[in-house]
Amino acid sequence: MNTPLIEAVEQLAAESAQYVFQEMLGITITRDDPTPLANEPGGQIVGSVGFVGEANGIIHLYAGLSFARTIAARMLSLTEAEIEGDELVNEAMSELSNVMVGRVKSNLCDGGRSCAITVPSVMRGQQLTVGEISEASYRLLGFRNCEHRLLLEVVVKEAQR
Amino acid sequence: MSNPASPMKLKILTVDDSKMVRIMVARAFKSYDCIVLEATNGEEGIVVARREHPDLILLDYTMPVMDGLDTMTALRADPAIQNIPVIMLTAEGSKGIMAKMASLGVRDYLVKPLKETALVARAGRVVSLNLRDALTLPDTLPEPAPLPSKDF
Repeated sequence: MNTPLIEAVEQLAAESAQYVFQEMLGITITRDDPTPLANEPGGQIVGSVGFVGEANGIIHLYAGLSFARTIAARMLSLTEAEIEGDELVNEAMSELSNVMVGRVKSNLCDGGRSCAITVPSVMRGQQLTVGEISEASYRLLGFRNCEHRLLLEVVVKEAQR
Repeated sequence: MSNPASPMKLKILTVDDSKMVRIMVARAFKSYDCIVLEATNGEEGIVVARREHPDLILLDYTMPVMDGLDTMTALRADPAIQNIPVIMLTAEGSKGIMAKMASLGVRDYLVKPLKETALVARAGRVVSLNLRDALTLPDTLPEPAPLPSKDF
């Protein structure tokens, strides 16, 4: 347990994201430059899940709305035209974030850093930007599938022992 | 709700705050002769379980209002529903969680992301799943055509 928490969570989050996208959606995502998605046409959506305990932090998964619709369609084995309205897209991002951070949490617990995860939350916006928080360690990870980009924002604070 | 014309139809209750999971479960079992009921959290799940007496409960671990472990505790404390088998659905596969589930008598568990084939297979180990009838016979069959006569 000598690895700094932020490095451990960064690696776990990256592996988890790639695994979940592949297993859950059949989508391969590769590491990419972590440029913010602020200019994604149609806006962005972010799914967030926190973890609390000996390891404390939160992981945000950002996607453009177009890619989020693709994600929802893949998750339900539907065409994108069959995804009507916002609800299913929001639900897909929520479940995706939940499964992804759940894997991170399991690995943290098995590695000796016990914690529990929060219920996921989803937010939409046009100009969502990411920024560092003082007193916390922070990483921004970029991913890509063809023209679609994703961002993972990892924020952790090691518990005082 | 049970179909009064088929009182013995298998009932599966999905307790999960994720609409995506509830849709996926319903789709997984649509080829089988069963009714899939839903609840969005543990508290609602207990209410539905007491009313419907499902044959199997698929229970999420992390939920608002009442989570999976508290729901299991409530189920086991109620004599009317304490013997309903439960398969836990969880995004967390840590050893600690597995141990807690086992101590509460969870019959089996599935770590998300869910695969429909795995879900059906695990459910099939706990309850008897039958495919829905592929053919529906008419009430009356047409008269068979007469056989041609032959001179031997």
